[in-house]
Amino acid sequence: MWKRVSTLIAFSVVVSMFSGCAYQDVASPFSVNIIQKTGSNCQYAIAPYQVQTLQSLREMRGSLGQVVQTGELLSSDSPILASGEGFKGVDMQYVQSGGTIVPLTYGSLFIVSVYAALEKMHLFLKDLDPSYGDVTRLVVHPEDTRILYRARYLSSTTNSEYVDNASYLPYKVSGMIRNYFFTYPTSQIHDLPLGLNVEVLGHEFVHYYSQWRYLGTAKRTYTDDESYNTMSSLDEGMADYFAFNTTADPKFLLCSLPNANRDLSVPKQFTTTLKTRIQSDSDFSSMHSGGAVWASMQYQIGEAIGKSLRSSAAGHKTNARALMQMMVGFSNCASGGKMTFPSIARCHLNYLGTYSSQARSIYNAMLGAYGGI
Amino acid sequence: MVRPILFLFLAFVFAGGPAEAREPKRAVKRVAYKTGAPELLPERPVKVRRLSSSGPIPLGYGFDVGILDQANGTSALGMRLFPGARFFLDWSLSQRWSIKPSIGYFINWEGEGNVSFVSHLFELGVTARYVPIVTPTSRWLAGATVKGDMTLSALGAGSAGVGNPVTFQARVGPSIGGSWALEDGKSIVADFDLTFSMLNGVRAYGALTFGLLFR
Repeated sequence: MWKRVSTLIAFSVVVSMFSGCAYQDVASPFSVNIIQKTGSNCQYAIAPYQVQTLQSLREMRGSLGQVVQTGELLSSDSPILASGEGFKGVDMQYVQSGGTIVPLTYGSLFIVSVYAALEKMHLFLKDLDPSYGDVTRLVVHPEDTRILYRARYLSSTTNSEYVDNASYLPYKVSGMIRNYFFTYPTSQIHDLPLGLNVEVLGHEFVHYYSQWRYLGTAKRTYTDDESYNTMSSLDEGMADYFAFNTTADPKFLLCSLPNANRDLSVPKQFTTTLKTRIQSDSDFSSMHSGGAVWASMQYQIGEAIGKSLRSSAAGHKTNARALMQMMVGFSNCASGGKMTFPSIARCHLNYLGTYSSQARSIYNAMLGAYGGI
Repeated sequence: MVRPILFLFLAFVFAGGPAEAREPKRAVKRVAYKTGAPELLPERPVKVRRLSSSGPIPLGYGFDVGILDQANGTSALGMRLFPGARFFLDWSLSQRWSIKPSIGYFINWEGEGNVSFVSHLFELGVTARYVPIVTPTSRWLAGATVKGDMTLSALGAGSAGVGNPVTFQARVGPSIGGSWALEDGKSIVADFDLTFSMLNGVRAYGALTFGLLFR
């Protein structure tokens, strides 16, 4: 009897193996179907995106890092973050159809979307300035970056797990930095999950770039509260503005968080309260508010340049390139031994050339409680 | 490839299975007429139908409902759950061997926020089973099963949506089960099968179903 059963199983295995021929690992370049924006009103299409830096789709490993997971509840002192070892690979299910990879599970879609969003910002920065925008030239081993899928991370301040968020963490250990991106579980969001919001992951990638381009050094150099808080706010503002540049949607965060005051196209100013916090808080937590003001100023500057160039996109690209050059020479932006928004704004003008007068008038109108420059 | 198999399976279902499986009922009636034996006695003393260990077993049919689990390391609990149902035939080849062809439908929904991913899995299967243990009211079965799946999936994001390509896969693996007799030829059945496919690497599927069998 068992001989007959085993014969039946063996036959079936052969049949099954034939059905498995479709599964192959894939390396870049290849197209994959992901959720993409079609406009600035949170409208989407499921369309192919050309992935360029992934060496293994099955392992989700590429020159920008590897998407991994762990069931462990992480915290700032987790050994797994210090060692960078012990993470599990992700489980990808996909099929090739007409030259395009199609994810077959929500998880596979999410994972490949996260990598694609990070890559999109990488390529934008690299295209903006091939000399200074390529993060793989800044980071020693960019491929060792770990991108955590649905991480469980305990916040040290609230003692609860992060949800509805994404983040970049430069984890300092033994004189070196391990780079981590985190996506967290979705909890209260009823719209586009943050991990599928291309600009949100792009925003996080700019934190990564900024850390290695100028902030890591600058935060060790300018340690007073005002400089530190200013740079934290600047980091958020830069991340918002560059993220906007990849899709030209100034309301991108509202597609996930409709009530957030993060619409770049809405002009904002530094209020007296916000300025005071930036100048004196030793436990500053309003960096997103400060960043939103900076991002809205950059949006207005980009629009103004765009009018001169008769192309909004060209105006923002010109402004973004100037900001990147400012990052490269960021140590020259201090004034009186401190980093302040007026000093950084003046610094920015140096890289805008013929458009500096337009930017100056915008800064004078929007620096608010800081006064003019 | 699938269409001819589906056609043959449906033809088998509507034909009512092999003639020999239906034969015993007619044989009993003819014998009763020729011998002038009285009609069935008015009392019905047997509430639980005893599963015969001798004589042909009539063709059975039935349905069951349950969960098909697809192992997936990135899903919650490490698996994707597909609730669904199967309709099946139970065709006894002998006292110990039976064949159970089935057709099933299972569905899985995944998503967050306004993004949804729905998979519809249509399953065609055949299970060859051996009955190692028979008691007066139950039968325990073990064997092997082969399943052919056709999966349709669709991704939606807000007002946008797209259907994914249809995928086909074969699965194979061991199957165990049991049936417990009720009255009037009905039985409760339970089955568990563990199958493996190679569509996206070697991937395990477990299916646990419960249902009713009619003979």
